[in-house]
Parts: sequence; structure tokens; C-alpha cells
Amino acid sequence: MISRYYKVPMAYAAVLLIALIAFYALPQYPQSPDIFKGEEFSSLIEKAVEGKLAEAEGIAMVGSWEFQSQEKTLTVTSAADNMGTVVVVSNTDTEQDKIIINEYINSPLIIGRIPPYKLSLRGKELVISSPPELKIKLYSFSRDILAQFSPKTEQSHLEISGFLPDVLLYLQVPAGMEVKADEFGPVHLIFAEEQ
Amino acid sequence: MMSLARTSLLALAGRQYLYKLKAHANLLTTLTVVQLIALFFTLLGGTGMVNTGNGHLNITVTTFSSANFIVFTLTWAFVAAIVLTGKSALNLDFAFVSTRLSRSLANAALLLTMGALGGLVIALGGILMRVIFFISGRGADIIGADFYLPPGDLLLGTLVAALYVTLTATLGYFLGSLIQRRKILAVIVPALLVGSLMLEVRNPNIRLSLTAMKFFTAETSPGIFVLKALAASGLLLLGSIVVSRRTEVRR
Repeated sequence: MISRYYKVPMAYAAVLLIALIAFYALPQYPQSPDIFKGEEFSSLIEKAVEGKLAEAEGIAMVGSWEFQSQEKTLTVTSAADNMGTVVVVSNTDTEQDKIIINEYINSPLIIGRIPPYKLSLRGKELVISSPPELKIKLYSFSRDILAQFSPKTEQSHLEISGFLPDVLLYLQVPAGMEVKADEFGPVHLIFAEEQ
Repeated sequence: MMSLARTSLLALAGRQYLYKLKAHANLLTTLTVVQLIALFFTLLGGTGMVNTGNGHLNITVTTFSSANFIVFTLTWAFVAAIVLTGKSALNLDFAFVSTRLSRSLANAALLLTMGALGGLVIALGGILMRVIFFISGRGADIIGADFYLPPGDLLLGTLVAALYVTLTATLGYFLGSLIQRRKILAVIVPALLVGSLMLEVRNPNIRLSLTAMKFFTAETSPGIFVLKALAASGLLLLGSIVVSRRTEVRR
């Protein structure tokens, strides 16, 4: 007969055993890329300016838009609630009368979670509305008691939280189209190098 | 009437150990309760959190570890070991004929058993936490690669945790033995412990307990850590035996 003292511990031991079997029977284990390990945003901008976005690692396209325009000028504005938005402008790659905008983010883990910007062309004005601040909850696990035997790398997200994913808009306009934005507004225009 | 039957020291210590194991079966229940509390608090809010944002994104990363299991289990081992030196536990030694050495061996085996069980439940608690987290449907939100624990790491983690629990238990047993020797130490020992901790909190230049802890926690070689923990536990057990030599009389 099992003593009353053993009933609770034995039940817990059974739960632990089942958990152990279940854990090692899992078909696959979550192993997402680290959210803080995409292309540095400054490096992403640099590559966009040089027309080498295809070479950037750890980036993903969030959205893509195409507009027809026969205007000679384009003013990029944003909704009042926008935070700083970086727009890299290239005027070499598109067909006549066509404006193409691609939205990139420098963290593949964010893709699927972040809604794209809302863009609309009103005559000579391209209006950018960013979605409201997106709150993402993520979880990480520690190597626990064995951490003391590991070299101190990748252990703590607290130590590397200086890097955060950010959004870049890559705007391609027909050759000859002048693009401008309010100097003190939330849109930061950066012009790509001539190819 | 005197018994003429002769028995070996190990057999005697073994019988005494089994007897003590049954007599202290309630320790298993308290260990389980402690584990469940640790699990509850871990699943409730993790063991660490970092929040960062840039206007577009606000990211909160909650970290999960076995820290609660470790802290709660070490506390259990420390308190249980002190209780083992108490009067009621001491009276169990007089249930049958024994020697001082057989009693010490039986107590050492009991502390090692506590260490082994504590280490096992800490390691498996970490696995249970991961499984519960996974089946709760948050697997896609896990970042990093430390969710998976290779079996080798689990075994090493169990051993290391067991050594920490044993070390804490033998420290508690040593302090308990000291207190049994001189009752006044029941006031002095906790006062010294709390006092030194308060001193360390106020003055960052004084690091008494932290230095002692770092002797173990800052060791990066598993082999040397095992040696350190075994040597320290052995010394504490030896100290307990020496201290309790004069406290064997039933009171």
C-alpha cells in the first residue's frame, strides 16, 4: 500500500516522466532566427542607396505598391500619427509613368506579424500612413544551470537589445520625376546613387 | 540482554538510512509542493523580461529558465537539512542500536539522496515548463535556439543541479549541527547571515557571500565544478560529524 506521503510525489513524478517523453518526441523544436540579428538598419539603408538590396541578409518584403503617374513632381507626405519613416528614392529602375514602392523590414521573424503601411497617390502627393505601433510578445529560453559553462555569447537579449527591426520604403520613380518631402516632417528622403 | 549478533557498519548504516528515508517521507511531499509553486510562478511571468521599441515596433521578450526551480529547491534543501538536525529527527537515531559513525553515514546518504532528487526535479521541471509552454500554442513566438535541450545537456544539468542541492543541504546540515551544539547559535548564525547580506547590499566593496558563491557559480569547467562541489560538501559533512560528536545523547 502506498503511503499517503508518496501519493503526491508519485503523481508529480509521473507527470515529469510523461513531460520528458513528450519533449523528446516532439517532431520539431522552435528555432526561430533571433529577432535582433537582422541586417543593421543603417547597413540596409546603405545597400538600398547603392542599389544592392538583393545582397542584404535577413530582410523581408512587407508590402509592394504600384501607381501610375504622369506628374513631373512627387511630394511624399505622411499621416500625422507617423513616426520617422525612411524612404530611399531611386529614379532609374522604372518604366515611364510608373511609381513602384516596396516596404522592407530587416528581420524575417517580424514578417507575417507586421501589417504593411497604407499608401495612396493623390495627384502629386504620395501619402504614407504607418500602422499603429505594433506590440509583439516573444519568448526565449535559457540554458539554465548550464549557462555557467558556456562562453558568454547570445545568452541575454538584454545585452543586445540595442538593435531593433525597422521599416524602409524603397521608392522607384521614372527618370526625371522630382521627389521631395517636408524638410522637418516625419518622412526622411534619401536619394539612391545613380546606377 | 545483550545481542551477540554482529553486523557490518555499512549494513547498519544502510538499515538506518532506509529507516530515516521512510520517517522523512514527508520531505518528498514538501519538495513536490515547492516544485509546483516554482512552476506556477515561472509560467505566470517567466524569469526575466526586456521591452524595447522604436515607434513602429514594441517588442517584449520574456525569458523562461529554471531559476525558480533552482531557488525554491535550494531553499527546500537548506531548511530540510536544518530540520534533520532537530530534536525529533535526532530521536529517530535511538530507534535501534547504532553507532555514531553509522548515524553519520546514514545522514550523509540522506543528504545525498535529497541532492539527487532535488537535481532531478530541477532538470525535469525545466522540461515540464517547456512542454507546457509548447502545448499552450506559443511555440511560434519562441526566439533563439535554447528551447531544445540535448539529452547530454539534460544529464549534465541534472548532475550540476544535484551538486548544488547537495552543497546547500550539507551547508544547512552543518549549520543545524552547530546550532544543536550551542543553542545560542540559533540566534547568532541567522543574525550573521542576514547581517552580512545587508552589509553587502549597502557596501558594494564588501562581497563575502557573493565571493563564496562565485567560487562555484563562476566556475566554467564542469569537471572542476564537480570537484569543488564534492570537496566542499565533504568538508561540510565532516565538520557536521565533528561538531555533533557531543550532541549524541538523547535529550
